[in-house]
Amino acid sequence: MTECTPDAEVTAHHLLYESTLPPSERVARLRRVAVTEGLDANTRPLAWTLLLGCGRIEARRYSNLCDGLSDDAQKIRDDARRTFRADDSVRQKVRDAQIVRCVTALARSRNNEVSNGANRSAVAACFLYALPSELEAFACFEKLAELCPRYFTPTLDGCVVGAALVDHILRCISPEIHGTLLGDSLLLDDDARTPVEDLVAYPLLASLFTVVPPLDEVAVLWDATFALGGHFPVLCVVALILERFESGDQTVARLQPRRLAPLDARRIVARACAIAPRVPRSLYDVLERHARDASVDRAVVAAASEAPRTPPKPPPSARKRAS
Amino acid sequence: MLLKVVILGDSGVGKTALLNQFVNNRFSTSYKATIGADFLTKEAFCGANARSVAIDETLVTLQIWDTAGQERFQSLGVGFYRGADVCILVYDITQPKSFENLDTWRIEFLTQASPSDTQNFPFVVIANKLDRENDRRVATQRAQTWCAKNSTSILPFFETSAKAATEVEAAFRKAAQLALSQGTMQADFIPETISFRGSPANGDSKSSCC
Repeated sequence: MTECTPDAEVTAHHLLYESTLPPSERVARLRRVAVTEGLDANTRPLAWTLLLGCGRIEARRYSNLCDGLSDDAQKIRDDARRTFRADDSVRQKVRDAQIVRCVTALARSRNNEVSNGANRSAVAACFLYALPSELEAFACFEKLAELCPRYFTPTLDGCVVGAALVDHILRCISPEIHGTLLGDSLLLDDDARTPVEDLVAYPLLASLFTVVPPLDEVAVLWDATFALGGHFPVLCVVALILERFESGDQTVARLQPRRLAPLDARRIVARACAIAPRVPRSLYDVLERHARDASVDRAVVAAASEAPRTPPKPPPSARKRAS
Repeated sequence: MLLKVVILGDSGVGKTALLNQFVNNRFSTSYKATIGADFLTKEAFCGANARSVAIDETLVTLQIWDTAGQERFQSLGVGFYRGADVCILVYDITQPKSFENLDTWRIEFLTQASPSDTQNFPFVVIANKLDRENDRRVATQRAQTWCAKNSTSILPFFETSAKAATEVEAAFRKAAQLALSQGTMQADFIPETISFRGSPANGDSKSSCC
């Protein structure tokens, strides 16, 4: 990444508005800049629509999608009401009605086959916060749901698999930290989910980091994600765990997203990029596919992981119960 | 002794608010929806006998698991429920649907947690948002009837307000007491819950408390 230190020729602003390079080359370079430098409030709107491939954004289509009720309209309204209530900077910019419209439109555009969890409201709110118009927010939201469709299914299965990937990657690259976090928790069987998966990775992935404020930092993680792909948040979670562990948060309880210190997104992106080459190839292959490919489940992740699972031997009583 | 308490109920009924009122004596109107799950621990003295005097009480660590009401069991691991010593079911007195869903929550909990004795597994039912009595749409009598028909013994029932701290302590103490009586019978199963190295009491970085 060091070769990418920007000069005037490779800033996002230059690539978006001034460069005379062919469009494909500009987008390719923009991808790199979005990862190494991040974007800012001025360049982000256009950059995100390009990185996500929004193409032509049609106001009438959005209007039609909003103009009607989703199958779970009441639930959408309840979720919207409970999204970022405590964050004044978000509340000033994002109205509940906008979240409701964006989520309703996404549900209708995907024939209601979309997660009915708080995660979709939180993700929609972050788009509405970072982008100047509701229309752009929806266009990006819809494209993100195409980039990682399994993160938006009713069962959030991509998030479950992503959380398993976090666990396996952490185990591969830092068995000591993984072991410390696992503590003496006893796993009943080989496919039991670990506390790192369930309590740390899952909420971070399901919310795409919006559960950890501030949203300005979340947007920086998204810059890199939209540039690199739907696999990148998993690496960011691993990076975040390593960063916080080194800062003294050495138990799962302290790493729970609601109790984490505010994000330092640039550090996390840099760390995630450094982790990527250390992930074994078989596992990386699964990582790249997991957000889209429904055949990737936890068993596939476990099989791809080069480090076999060796849970501590359960005591006789636990074995008895397991049987 | 470590006791695992799981709180379940529809989205927005006040699970996180109840937990924070009990553990941190705080209430906020601005809780965000819980994504996935999360847990807090609290130490409390309690006795297995409802009428026990202080001398019979033991120090227990309650590990209370707060879950996202909207995700049901589709995406949460069975690890959340397995090894639970007691389950608290919460509904909102202003939302009849949240009361009607108690059946589903109870059945799904029993399916996922698969306790050894499903008939006698302890539940506590909490009717929250008592501070909004004027908007009440679930009569106390209706809930009490449900509590009576769903167990061999009547399920303990509390009407609470996480906002006003009404009956929150009492409800959790009852849950702890039931968990303790359950725990004394099934002490061997406790290691199946997630536990962490070090004593939660010492407050250092190894503690499971935050």
